[in-house]
Amino acid sequence: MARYSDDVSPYAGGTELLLAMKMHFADYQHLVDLKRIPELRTIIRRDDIVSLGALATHATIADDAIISGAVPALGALCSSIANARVRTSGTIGGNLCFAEPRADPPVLLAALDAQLVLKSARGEHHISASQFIIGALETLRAPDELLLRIEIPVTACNIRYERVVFGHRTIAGAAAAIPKDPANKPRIWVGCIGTHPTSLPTTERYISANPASLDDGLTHAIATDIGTLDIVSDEDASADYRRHLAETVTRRAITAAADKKGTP
Amino acid sequence: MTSSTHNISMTLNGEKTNALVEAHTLLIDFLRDAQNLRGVKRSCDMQICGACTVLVGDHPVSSCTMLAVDADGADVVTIEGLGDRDNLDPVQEAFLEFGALQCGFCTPGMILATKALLFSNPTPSRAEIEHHLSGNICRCTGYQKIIEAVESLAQT
Ligand SMILES: Cc1cc2nc3c(=O)[nH]c(=O)nc-3n(C[C@H](O)[C@H](O)[C@H](O)COP(=O)(O)OP(=O)(O)OC[C@H]3O[C@@H](n4cnc5c(N)ncnc54)[C@H](O)[C@@H]3O)c2cc1C
Ligand code: FES
Ligand code: FES
Repeated sequence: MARYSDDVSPYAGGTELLLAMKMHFADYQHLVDLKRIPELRTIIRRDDIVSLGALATHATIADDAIISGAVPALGALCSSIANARVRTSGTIGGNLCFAEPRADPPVLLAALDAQLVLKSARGEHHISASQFIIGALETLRAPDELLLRIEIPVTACNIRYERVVFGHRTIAGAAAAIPKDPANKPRIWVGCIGTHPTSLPTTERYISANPASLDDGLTHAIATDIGTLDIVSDEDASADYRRHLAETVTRRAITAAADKKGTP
Repeated sequence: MTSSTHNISMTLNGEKTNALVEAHTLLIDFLRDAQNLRGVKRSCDMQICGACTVLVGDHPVSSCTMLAVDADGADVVTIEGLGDRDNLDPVQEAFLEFGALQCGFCTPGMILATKALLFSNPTPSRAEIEHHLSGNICRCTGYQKIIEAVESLAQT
């Protein structure tokens, strides 16, 4: 990769990259096909960490027994992303590295407190999924770095991702990870409404302080957090509509996670 | 764009096929132009409509957004690889029986998407059929007849 400097791009399923190249949004003389490295596809569990290879496709993740046992919310999401053809080819790593503002997995992986492991000739480098995406199509990945894997901690949490899709993409998505032990901090993230996923700190504090109540106070906390965000208007949805949907999917994710007491 | 050329070999509709392709050649162009398999249709060119669906190792892909070099070593099936006029594939038979096509433009993709579904799940429910085929667009039939045709296959 270093040899061709800025005329080279990593290439996985091509479901974003080839589209961008066909539309002349991107132009590279060299593509490095990561599919030729089979180790990047493996999904394994070591103690309380699920290590998900960056080249695992949505279809593989949806059907994987380790994922459905340890992080069923991720399997459920991957089985519903896009269509069967994109799920066959598209990878989780490509989804994260492309950083499309309407992508779902970055929101869920941030709520799961996943760690991304990147590598270049300079060495390995860990970044939290919650910090990786910094803007629309912008990440902290250096051009010569590859995403190797995603490490997901398996914790005693009830986890739920809820979204609303319009046309072919999500217009609001929210993830809730609510610990079974109320002494631990919940993680609530929203995405697909601005340039990148964001956490909802007021809502998290409210749930910690009021673990059993899904009341008006929760609705108010969610509205306070979402009220501070920059929300985009585009041909799919206005900012006002997205704000309303974001509040609704956040409440749904929290309610569903809170309802799942006792399930993994 | 400059481009390198690559020797690829694949099993195409059951036959070993070797070819020299440019690195940037899309699978759909290789199939239609070099292999004359015109049952592969191009419409949206952006992985939405499913008209270009082909099977690669029993899985459905959009040939409009896959490089031909990525099919190197793979088992590729287009609609021409299923049945012929006198000996239809059961899925083709069901589409005919249920009137699941009108203009026919979406049909090769629909049939191959159905094959892929039945490979991975031989007894899909109606909801599973709808979920799986939701990525294939038909402008004529209103989908009812297609879903009924696939349901008839699931019951056998
Ligand atoms: C019709 C359609 C509907 C979709 N719907 C949804 C949806 O509902 N929700 C959703 O979240 N997504 C959706 N997507 C996006 C889909 O999830 C992504 O296209 C897919 O996951 C990208 O993976 P890929 O392997 O094809 O990436 P590629 O296109 O191969 O690569 C994308 C980018 O990431 C870089 N890259 C890839 N892998 C690595 C790596 N390991 N290390 C470093 N850089 C890398 C590439 O250089 C490129 O810049 C949809 C896409 C389509 C076409
Ligand atoms: S032409 Fe490939 S999906 Fe529409
Ligand atoms: S039969 Fe005409 S598009 Fe489906």
